[in-house]
Amino acid sequence: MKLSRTLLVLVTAASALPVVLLGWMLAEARGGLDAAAAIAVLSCLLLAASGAALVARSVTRPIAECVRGALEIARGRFGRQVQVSARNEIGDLAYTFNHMSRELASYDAENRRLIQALEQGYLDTIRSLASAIDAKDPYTRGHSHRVAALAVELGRELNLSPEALQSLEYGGVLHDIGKIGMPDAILSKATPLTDAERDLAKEHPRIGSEIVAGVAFLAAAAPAIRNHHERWDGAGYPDGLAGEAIPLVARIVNAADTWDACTSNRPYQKAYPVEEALAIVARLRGTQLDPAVHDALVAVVRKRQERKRARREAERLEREARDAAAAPAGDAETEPAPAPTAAGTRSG
Amino acid sequence: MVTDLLGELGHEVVAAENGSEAVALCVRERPAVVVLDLLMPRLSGLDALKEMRAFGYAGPAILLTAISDSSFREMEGAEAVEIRLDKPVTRRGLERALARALATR
Repeated sequence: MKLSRTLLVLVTAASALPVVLLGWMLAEARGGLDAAAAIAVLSCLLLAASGAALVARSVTRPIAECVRGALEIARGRFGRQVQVSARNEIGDLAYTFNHMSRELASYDAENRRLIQALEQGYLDTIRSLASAIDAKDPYTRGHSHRVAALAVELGRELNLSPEALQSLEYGGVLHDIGKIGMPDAILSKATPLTDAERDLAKEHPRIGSEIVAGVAFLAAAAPAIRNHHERWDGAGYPDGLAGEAIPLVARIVNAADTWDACTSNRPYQKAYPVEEALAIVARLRGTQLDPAVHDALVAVVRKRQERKRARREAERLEREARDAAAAPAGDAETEPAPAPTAAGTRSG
Repeated sequence: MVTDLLGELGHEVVAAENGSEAVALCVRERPAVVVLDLLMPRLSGLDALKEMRAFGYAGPAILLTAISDSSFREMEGAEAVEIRLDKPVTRRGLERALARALATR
């Protein structure tokens, strides 16, 4: 360190120079130095050097500490405090540094909160947009929302990045937005569609992706909208993509869409029970559905069942505990049920 | 802590969480004296005082600081402060500062 070297030299020189001068004068006067005088001069020099080292350290150590703190802040770790106890200008530097650090941390937290509120606002807006399609058809009410939730769960199961989960959420909510241009007669028709009607219905993914094309924050969701009717074997629409060529988000939304169609009431079918629906999607594995996404779907469905079972169990225990508590005190036969434990109800 | 001390000394106190809140309170409550910390969240004591003056507060201001005199004098707006009080604040120090502040009125 340059500063510490400079200080060392300066302080040592300032305090040692008089001693050296005195020693030299003594040597002149006496014609040489005896042992005691030599030792005195040497120990004075030593004292001066160690004093200088102490001064240099007391100045440079707090500065080094502040430098470390500044680097931490540069890395985005706001709120870091430096430990400097000196009551001088360097102490002031550390004190105001700590204040700055705290302020940065609070601005940062504020910004994060604002961003989150903004994103929530975006999501609410596109949800209300999606509910416009759901409202056209009583059979699909809540469909977009459920598909989005399941698609995000599938994405988590497949260990996707937060950005991918975000586009699954947006893509899931908006996957059928293209139906906004479809005649109601086609959407809610209980009988099979004619060829002309089917061709029109098949336009909805393309129309949907065109609707969101101009929206920058939905860019990552556009493939999920455009390609959510592609099939793993290449027989889907609108682009006839197959296998890995279909964007992963689209494969996931396709699986979530299919699952929701199987498990909710439609004009052309009643909702299937979970086990039957699982059998149906198992047949689609490798033909319509990406095998990996299918397996994730099965895992998610099993987890949901497990959660539901655990919740029911917890509710049952709670009810029993309540009933036992409400029962007359004279009834010694009924033992109070154990309190429901929240731990372990969520299987990892 | 300063709020408690001021209360113990028999003053009516309105406390603010941060610098900008202090300015708003000062405008609303029209206090006889303002006690500011140099380093407050959002707005520093000096900036807060400047805003208070702009809003027409003409009373005395006591500024609490934990930094040394030479660093303080380098700061913009430091000359506007009549009374400085070093931290940590003692009951006696605060009492004296208040007496001086009220005498200057």
